[in-house]
Amino acid sequence: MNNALNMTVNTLPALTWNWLRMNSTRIEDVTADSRARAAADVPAGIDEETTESTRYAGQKTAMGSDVDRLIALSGICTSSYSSQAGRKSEAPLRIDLSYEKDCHDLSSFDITAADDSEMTVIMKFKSEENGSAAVQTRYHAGRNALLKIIQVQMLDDDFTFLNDIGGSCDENGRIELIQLILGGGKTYTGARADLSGDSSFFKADIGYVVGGSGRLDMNYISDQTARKTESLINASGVLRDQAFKLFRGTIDFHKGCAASVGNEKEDVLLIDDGVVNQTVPLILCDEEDVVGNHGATIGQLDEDLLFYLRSRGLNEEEVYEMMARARMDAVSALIPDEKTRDEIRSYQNRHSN
Amino acid sequence: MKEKTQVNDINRSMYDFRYEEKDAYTVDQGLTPEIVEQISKEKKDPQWMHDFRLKSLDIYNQLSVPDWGPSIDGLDMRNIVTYVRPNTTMKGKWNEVPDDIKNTFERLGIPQAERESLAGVGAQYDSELVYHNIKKEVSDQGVVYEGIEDALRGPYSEMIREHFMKLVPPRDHKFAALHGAVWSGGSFVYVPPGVSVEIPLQSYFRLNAPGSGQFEHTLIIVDEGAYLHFIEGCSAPKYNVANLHAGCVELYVGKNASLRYSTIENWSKNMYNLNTKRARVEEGGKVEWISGSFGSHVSYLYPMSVLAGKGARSEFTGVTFAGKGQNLDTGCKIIHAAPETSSYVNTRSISKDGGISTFRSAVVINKNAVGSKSSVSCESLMVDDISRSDTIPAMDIRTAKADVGHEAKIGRISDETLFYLMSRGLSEEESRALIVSGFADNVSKELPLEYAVEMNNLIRMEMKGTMA
Amino acid sequence: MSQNILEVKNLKVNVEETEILHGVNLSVGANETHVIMGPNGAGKSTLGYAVMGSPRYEITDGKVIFDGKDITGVSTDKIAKAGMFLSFQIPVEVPGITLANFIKSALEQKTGQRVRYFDFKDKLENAMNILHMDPSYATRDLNVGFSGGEKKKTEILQLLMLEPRLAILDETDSGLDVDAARTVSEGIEAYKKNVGGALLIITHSTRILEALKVDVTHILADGCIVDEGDGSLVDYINQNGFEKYLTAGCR
Repeated sequence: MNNALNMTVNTLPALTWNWLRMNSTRIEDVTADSRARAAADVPAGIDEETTESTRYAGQKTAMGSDVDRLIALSGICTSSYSSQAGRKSEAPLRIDLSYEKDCHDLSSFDITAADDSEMTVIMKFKSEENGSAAVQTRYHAGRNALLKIIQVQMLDDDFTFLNDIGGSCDENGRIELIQLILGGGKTYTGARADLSGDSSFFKADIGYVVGGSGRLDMNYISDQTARKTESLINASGVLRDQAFKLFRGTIDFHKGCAASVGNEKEDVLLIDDGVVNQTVPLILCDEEDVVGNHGATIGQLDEDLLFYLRSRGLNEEEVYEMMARARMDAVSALIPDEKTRDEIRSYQNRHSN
Repeated sequence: MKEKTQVNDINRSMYDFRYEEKDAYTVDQGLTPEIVEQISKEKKDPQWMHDFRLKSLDIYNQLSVPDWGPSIDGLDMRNIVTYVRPNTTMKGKWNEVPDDIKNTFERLGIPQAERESLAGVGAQYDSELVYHNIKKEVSDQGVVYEGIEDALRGPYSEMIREHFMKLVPPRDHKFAALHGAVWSGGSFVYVPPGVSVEIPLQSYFRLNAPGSGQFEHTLIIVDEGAYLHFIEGCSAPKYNVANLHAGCVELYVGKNASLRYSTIENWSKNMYNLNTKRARVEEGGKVEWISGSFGSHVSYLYPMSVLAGKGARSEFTGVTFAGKGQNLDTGCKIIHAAPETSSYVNTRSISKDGGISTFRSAVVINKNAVGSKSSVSCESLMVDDISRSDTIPAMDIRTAKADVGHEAKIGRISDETLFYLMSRGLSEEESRALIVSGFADNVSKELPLEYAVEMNNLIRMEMKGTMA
Repeated sequence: MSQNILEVKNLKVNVEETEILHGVNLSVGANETHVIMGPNGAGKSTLGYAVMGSPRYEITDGKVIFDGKDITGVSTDKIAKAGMFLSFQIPVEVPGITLANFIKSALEQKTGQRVRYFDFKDKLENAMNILHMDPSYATRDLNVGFSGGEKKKTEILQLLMLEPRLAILDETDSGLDVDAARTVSEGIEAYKKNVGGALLIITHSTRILEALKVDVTHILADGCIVDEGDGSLVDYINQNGFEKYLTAGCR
């Protein structure tokens, strides 16, 4: 039985010139074997369930429907976690995935923050060498709910990873995503938020380091249809060696989303000459009463800053190390969990150049 | 100070007149090799151009229309007549041009402009050049400014052959191929080394016959250390039949040379404007694009700069105004193909009355473009709640030693600003018009005065409702 | 008895569904100088904006009568043409339009006629001199990149050029240094002297009032007028502050 798929993922909501090759990404021969074994630490107040498939089948995700096809092909079931209405969960839900050598594992998660609740989910991805994995997470933030999803990726240099997120928010619902991509081979990831409830909110803080001959292919979409919605996408990264990175970020203001705001900011530090940086920041707008902003800064360190730090005794390489690390620290500082931050620090220390 | 005739009471109707076709020669509708042969024969093409046209037709038939951007389904190529020529050949003196053609230009204010120290006017009626005149002082400097079809048969034919459709090859896209097959008319300019042309060269073209296409080719070569400002401003009357403009502009900017290319595109609201403009800049050279896009039903317009020599620079300043029934897809492309090149882009776009405006750009920095810088700023203004504005910029950077900044903003007319202006007695309509023309000042301040006035008048006309 | 240039009758104003003014009453005589003082948040600026017809301030009850005509709900530009002027606390930057062209446009709107260039130029120069403004500001984009003080001067410049019958000055001297405040004050005096219109000065500091003869002082606290008096009330406030009024309630 052929359990492999040719996939098209991370399609731009509005296409541009084909010669740029940024409209979407093709991944050949993705194998869908078995369900990954996740170690889940479920705190009090969070209900766990296993369902045959996602209960949010109609919810679009950033990477697209080919991920659904892959999951269907594998036949794995969905792990569903829900908070209880009106309850702020005291501890985070921890989901740890440790991929074994040469695996081809998949996971499907549904995360639901019930009305008036608060829920934090921390997902960590580690691997041995070689292999691939796919994770699809669908979420829903209920009315006045606050859902935080924190993902830390500490994968091997030869590992291929597909990490897809998509969900929506009800009135006053908030989704805050933190993604820290510290290692991996070929990573394809994206997150989508449908702000369909009035005054709902989407924040994404993404930090990444790509080195060696790694590839990072991203797609973030804020789909704003309701009134007074707000999105804030911040991506900060470092590219070294012959790394390749493609960042797509879309703020889509649909008709009717009056008084909405969207902000997208990208900062990329380029260290070595073999790197390739691609950026496509989209703002699509069908509504008059909005404010949308996008800014991107790509390149090396500011000359004045470099001079200042060197005048304090650091050589250029040390300065770059320091600044690269500072960018990641800025994102990991946002993680409200000491244990996770410690783990990140250890990983970074082990892997520093 | 130069003073062109004020285009005072701008109303649309001024541009919407046309003359009955007199015994003009018309090619069969539809595009076959026979027609291309006919065109080539009619123009007395040299053999290489004849072959080039046929090869382009081949390519045209192979390529398909783009799968992104506004729909051009309303354009049926078979129904576009590609060649229309009035029964007059090129004239040297203004007073020898036939009356009705002269009247067309008179109404557009050309005679006065010609009198007032313009270097020369190349004016195009339908698909042919009608009148050309190079002022003595410019030709004395060695500057060549001719109709391109004539130049093809003159001493510069080799130079033209070396450059013609090399920047925009027919393979590039379907309408470049179409252009290669049926191109007709246009200007050829050559500025010798070290020559600084102080007065801007201008060119006008109009579309007149129902269903005819406009395929003029502009080829400008600015040699080492030279300077030129070329202004292209155009207008077309309105019909019920779809109209096509698939022109091509190729600009070669030599070492340490500088070329400023200004355009106000003001095609009538049923035109399909599928224009291709490209510049190649050598070491130390600079190209400045100043672009105001108004008019036309559908537009695909992305002037591209190839920075081929060390230290080459491109500056693009543009404004696009999409009103009722318009879908304007505009922007620019810049390829940094040499070290220490720089690009600067500043665009504004305005959407009103259900218009759709899309800003589409690409900044590509090649591996060898070490030490390059690029700064892109695009701002969009939504004037009402039925229009659309999309921003689709892209960057591809392949060296670490590059400095790229990009910012995009979208918003509406600020209530605070509106209130402030109204509190000084300006009506709401007047205040909005003032804010929008202020918003377009990135372009208007770069244009010669009379163009800036024309542009501001266009904006006021657009903002103050339609003139039926 | 001269007719009042402005009458505000029982004005109630909402901002974003919250009632800020709870029934304000005040009258300004044709050539008088009135001052509105009050603690922060009292609604002083709201009064100015509402009277001027700002769409963000919703008049839910009451009337505004300007020069004998009911202007409640009338659009801002018509109110301006009728002869009212509001000097903004934070003047707006308007890129793409020069200061001179803007004032000229406003004048043309007001008179309904084209303004003769040379007359205008002279008048503008004089006014800028009074305000110690560098002439180069005339060709700069309106307020773009201007310092706080320069922006305030631009407002007074417009006051001098447009010659309104009633000028509402909203916190005109806030953020100004001593010299700038004095210059602004001189500008206001020049307006009084040359045009003789009425002034409604909204302020919580009294520097610019020193050279002006104040006819009536109103104290606005908590959304209504809690006291009225003549010029001496200003001195009282300077010595004692607003404490007495914080729980006063509306008149």
